[in-house]
Amino acid sequence: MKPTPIVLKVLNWISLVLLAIATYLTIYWAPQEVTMGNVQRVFYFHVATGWVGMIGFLLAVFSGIMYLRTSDMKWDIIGLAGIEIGLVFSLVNIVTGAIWARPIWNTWWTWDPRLVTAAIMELVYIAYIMLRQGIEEPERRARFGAIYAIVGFVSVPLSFLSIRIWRTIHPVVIGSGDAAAEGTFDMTAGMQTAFFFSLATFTVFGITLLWHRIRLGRLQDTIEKAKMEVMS
Amino acid sequence: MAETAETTNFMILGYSVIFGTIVVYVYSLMARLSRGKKDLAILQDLDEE
Repeated sequence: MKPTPIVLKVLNWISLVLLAIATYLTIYWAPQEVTMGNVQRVFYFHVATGWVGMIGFLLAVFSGIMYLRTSDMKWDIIGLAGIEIGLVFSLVNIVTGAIWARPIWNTWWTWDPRLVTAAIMELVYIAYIMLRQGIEEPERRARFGAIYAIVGFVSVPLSFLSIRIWRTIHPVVIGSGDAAAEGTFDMTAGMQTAFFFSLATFTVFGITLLWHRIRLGRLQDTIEKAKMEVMS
Repeated sequence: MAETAETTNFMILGYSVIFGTIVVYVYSLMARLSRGKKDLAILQDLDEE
């Protein structure tokens, strides 16, 4: 395996510094929301993790299309990396949403369109990981993964648009949401700075993790090929 | 004017979940990379024999 590229090492440190600054901005610098109090600060990373999750799933669609066109295994590795990163960040998004909901909605969970579609999205991609592991032949596994990633992506825009097209209590902070939404607030200039900085931070951090995960995928691919050679 | 709710404990819980998950995932990546490198070295030794 090739040594860690310098650019990736630099990205590691940039991510760490950006995360520290974003944490400072969201906890200390951004003003406190007058009704919800400090729990509103979770919102900045809640949205940022949801964003990175969806980008990961979108990357898997692109990789799936590229694999079906080229049959190059590198696209399978990239697609799997995108889905794994997407799963981790989407999980954080769902759990932090529940933590925010407890004091604001007085419940950890409710069968609201956004919460349900987000949970379905997470389950669709957990199933992807589980089903992949049951396929031994690499080419068949990659073809299955590509098609599944493309079809499964239907759940992503469904989750994203759910708060914009259905009656829901989930707030829409950017754009206009349902009048029945509970926990809506207007972002001040300070809140907007913390929000967009968090989005940028998690995008850089997501790219860094994705790169590491792709390197791991390449290593696993090399191991699989080496095993075949030893056995033959 | 509405009173600001005291929700600091939930904020702490939220940030703990965020950073806890990140730490666990980064550790998992590092552990898998390290294990993979060892496996590859063993397989290369076997192949040479």
